[in-house]
Amino acid sequence: MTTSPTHGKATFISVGGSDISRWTDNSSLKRAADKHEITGYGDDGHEYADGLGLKAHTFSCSGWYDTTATTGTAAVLKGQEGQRLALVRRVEGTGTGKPAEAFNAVMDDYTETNPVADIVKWAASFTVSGVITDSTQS
Amino acid sequence: MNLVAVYERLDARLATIDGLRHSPFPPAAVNVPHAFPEWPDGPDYDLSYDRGLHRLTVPVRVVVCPLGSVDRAAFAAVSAYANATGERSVKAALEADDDATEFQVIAVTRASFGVVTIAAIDYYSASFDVTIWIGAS
Repeated sequence: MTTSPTHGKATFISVGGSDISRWTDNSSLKRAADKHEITGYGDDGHEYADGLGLKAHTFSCSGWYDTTATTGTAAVLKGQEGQRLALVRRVEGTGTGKPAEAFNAVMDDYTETNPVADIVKWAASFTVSGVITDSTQS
Repeated sequence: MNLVAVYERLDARLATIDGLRHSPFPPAAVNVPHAFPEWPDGPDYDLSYDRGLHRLTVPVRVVVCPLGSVDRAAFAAVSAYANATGERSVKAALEADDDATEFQVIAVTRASFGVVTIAAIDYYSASFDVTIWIGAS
């Protein structure tokens, strides 16, 4: 059996059409599902249907605050709370044959953090709206 | 990231301190008072995706006087260099260059004092911990 890891440094993230990769240092896409309960009288444990629940995906990302006026953190993310945005994630980086995920998501929160002994950081959380479209980069 | 350009930028900032001799790299010999950046710790690469941010820690050394000639004037001089503010403050001189072309953030976080040997001569000196963040260009 062969194995082949991939390094996180190549990850690509765009939000609302803006590439935020260079000021992002961590991101997480959680694919989750609601459960559709079908428990009836006489069952000894909860029973759940197979494949009937809605998807309930979430996405979060964080990084360092880029001050660039038109393409920086404030220009792209700040004030977008509650907005439905188009996101693209390339978990293995950019390149022909590598996977890509595209989805719409509502920004739940955006946080700026100012430690006294480090550069300014930011973090944002999203709830996926609809489905995640998986594709292969061409 | 161009280390030579970063070091020359640090040297240019040290040049703004009146009366302080300076070099953009560790010299073979010094003529006190003399300041220069020593070899870096790092770079720490890939602090964000797509080579978006790197970090460099550079000790900046200020050689004040030969060890045998430490006196009140030498102590006053090194005190001025170690001050957080003022015309001779190394911290103020270096941090005035925030958002330079060669790097985007610079922070002088600590000073320490001790003896350094250069060209077989022991000197009293101060060393400043300088952290530099370099974004993608």
